[in-house]
Amino acid sequence: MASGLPDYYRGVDIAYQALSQMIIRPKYGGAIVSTLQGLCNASGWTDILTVIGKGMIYGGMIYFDHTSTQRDSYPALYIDGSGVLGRTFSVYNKNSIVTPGAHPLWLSKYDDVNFIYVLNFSGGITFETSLLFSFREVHGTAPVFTFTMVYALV
Amino acid sequence: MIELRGIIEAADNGHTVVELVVTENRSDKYKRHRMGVDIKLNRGKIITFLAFVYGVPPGEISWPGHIELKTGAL
Repeated sequence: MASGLPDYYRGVDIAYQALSQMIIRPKYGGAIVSTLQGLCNASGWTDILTVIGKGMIYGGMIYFDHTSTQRDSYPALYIDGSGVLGRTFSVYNKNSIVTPGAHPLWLSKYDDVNFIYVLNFSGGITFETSLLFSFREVHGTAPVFTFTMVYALV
Repeated sequence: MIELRGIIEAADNGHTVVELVVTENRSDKYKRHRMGVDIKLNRGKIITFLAFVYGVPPGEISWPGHIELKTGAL
C-alpha cells in the first residue's frame, strides 16, 4: 500500500456502503463512574458534576430526598457549554417523561408526599468539550442528593 | 507520552473533588488521579501535578486541543 500500511488496512467508503453493517459498541469496562453525595445549596445552584473532555454518557441517576417539596426545583444539563435541559420535577411528572431513552433525562420516581424524586440519564449522550450537571433549588431548603453517572472519556 | 484526557470536578459532601483522567501511550487503560479538593484549576497547576506524579518534565505532558479550562459555568 502506498501509505506504507499493510494491504488489509483499507479506508471505509461510507457513500459506497462498503461495510454491510456497522455496530457501535460501548466499552463499558473503560467507563468512569462518579458516585457523589451531598447537600444542594438552598435557593441557588449546585454544580454537581463537571467533566471537561470528550466522551459519552452511558447512564446514571440522581436521587433527591428531603423533608419538604422540591417539585419546582430543576436539574440542568449543559453539554459543550449549552444548556440543553432544565425542567422542574413537576413538569417531568406532568408530561410523563418516564421512558428510558425517550429523553436525555427521565423521571423514575416522583413522590411529592414523601418528597423523593429520582431522575435518570439516558445513555448515548455525547459531548465534545464539556459536560455539566447542575441543580437549581427554588424552595429555600437544602435537599440531600445521591448521584451516580457512568460515562466514558475518549 | 502522558496525555490528559479529561478533568472531573465533582460535588461531594460540600466539597469539590478534582480528578484528572490520563492515558499513557494512548492505550485504552485510562487512569484517574485525585488532584485535590476545593482547588482552583489552571493549566499550569495541572501540568505541574501530572509531571510530578509521573516523574517527567512538564513538556512531556500532552494537552489535547479539545480540553479547555473556562471560568464560571461551562
